[in-house]
Amino acid sequence: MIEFEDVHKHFGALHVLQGIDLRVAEREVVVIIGPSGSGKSTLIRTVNRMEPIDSGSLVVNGTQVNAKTVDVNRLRRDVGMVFQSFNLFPHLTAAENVMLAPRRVRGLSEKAARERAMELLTKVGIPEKADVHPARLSGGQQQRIAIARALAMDPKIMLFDEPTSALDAEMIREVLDVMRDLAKEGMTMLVVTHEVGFAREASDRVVFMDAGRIIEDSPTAEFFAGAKEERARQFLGKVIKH
Amino acid sequence: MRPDTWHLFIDPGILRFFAEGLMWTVLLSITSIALSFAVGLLFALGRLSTRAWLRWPSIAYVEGVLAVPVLLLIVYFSIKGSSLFQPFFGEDFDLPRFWAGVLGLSMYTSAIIAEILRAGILALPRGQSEAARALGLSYPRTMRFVVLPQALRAMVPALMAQLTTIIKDTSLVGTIGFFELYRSARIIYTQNFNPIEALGFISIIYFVICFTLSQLSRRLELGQAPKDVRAKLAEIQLRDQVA
Ligand SMILES: Nc1ncnc2c1ncn2[C@@H]1O[C@H](COP(=O)(O)OP(=O)(O)O)[C@@H](O)[C@H]1O
Ligand SMILES: [Mg+2]
Repeated sequence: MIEFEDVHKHFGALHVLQGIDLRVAEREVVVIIGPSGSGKSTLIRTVNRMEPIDSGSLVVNGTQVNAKTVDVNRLRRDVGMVFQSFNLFPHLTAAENVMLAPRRVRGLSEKAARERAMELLTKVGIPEKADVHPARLSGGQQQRIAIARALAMDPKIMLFDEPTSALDAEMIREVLDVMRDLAKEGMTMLVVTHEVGFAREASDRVVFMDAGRIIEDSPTAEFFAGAKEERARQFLGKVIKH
Repeated sequence: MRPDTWHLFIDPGILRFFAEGLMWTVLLSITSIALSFAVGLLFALGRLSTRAWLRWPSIAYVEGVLAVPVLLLIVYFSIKGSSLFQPFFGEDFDLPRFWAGVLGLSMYTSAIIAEILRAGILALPRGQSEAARALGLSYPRTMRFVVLPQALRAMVPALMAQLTTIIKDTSLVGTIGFFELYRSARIIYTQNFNPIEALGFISIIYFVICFTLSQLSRRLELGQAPKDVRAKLAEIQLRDQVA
């Protein structure tokens, strides 16, 4: 589904991705962890070409993401993305946030889009908030709506960039529950998170990144039984403590 | 002062005359603000474009126009406007003074509106357009459905302020001989030798309209523009006064 081969990327002089090799199979859930600034966000943002790559090969759903002929908007329909800061559209209600892409990209009628939005809002547990604007919702509710919005285009892959880092402890759970359900349904997921509990329960593999490189890529059980790499063990020790 | 002429200002015929001047002032203002808005939007988007061939002409237009007094633009179109359009409308096309005024006012105001809109668009968190693009919306759709609705809402007070400025600036169109509110007062006082009264009378009319609009825009203010935008707007308005 997603195949990185020797992918490099620079921001000016900064070599953010230094030869990434990574494969994510269909229905697989891969968690990426690593210190701040190691390039995790940049890595997942290359998957839907929010960040273009400099060299190497990146194939998503069978298309070379950075080929000149690729229709990015077409590519992005199949890849849902959830951000740390939710990024809901404040001028639209919860339901309208979810309906926007189906209506304006896929051309669904208002009625059909609304029906689908209600299904998705039910799935994330807040159908009663359909007609409320984001400013009046808690962080956890906003993030669940953001997930529903990303799911509205029926993506084949979901990308999550620290979806719970901006949330208080009580709200983290409600978001992780939704993500866990998605994983169970067989969604292909690439998740940047420091939520060890989620990684343990819901992921198939854990990837540890540091300074633009993938240092370790192990099946989840193995990773938590004892990461091979010293740096990964140290990092894990820090994350679990708090 | 000429108290003996005060009765003129309750005379129905004279009042109708002023009302006609006011009607043209309002028509000039509305036409100009509408045209300014459309043109300003194009130049705001042009200046924000990543394509140099769109960006540079937009910067040149905005910066160039803002540095010229609006009266000069109005006079320019009243003198040169006809020959400017003759290639399109034929040899004996004569640009009506109304349209010379609209073009002069709109050229200037469009540059200001371009800057107001650009500030509003830049002030939106980057996550807004990113989220829209990540959903598969194209750049124009992202602008249309996500960025502009929010930027415009934040810019309502600044745009209303521009409307009041344009209403006052229509008096400049009177100087090229177009009949509007200021011109109507001029005609009255040259006949009755009472400039203080005539000009005082229309000042009250300008005041009532502009004050009402500025109060209205304060009510309409749907959320404060962020601090950096307000700073940017203050800078634009300052430049506006200097120019
Ligand atoms: N748009 C950008 N321009 C310049 N530098 C960037 C940009 N985005 C990220 N970076 C830099 O790239 C490095 C990796 O960032 P990021 O991928 O966000 O790391 P992480 O998500 O692991 O914290 C950081 O040093 C960051 O400052
Ligand atoms: Mg990050």
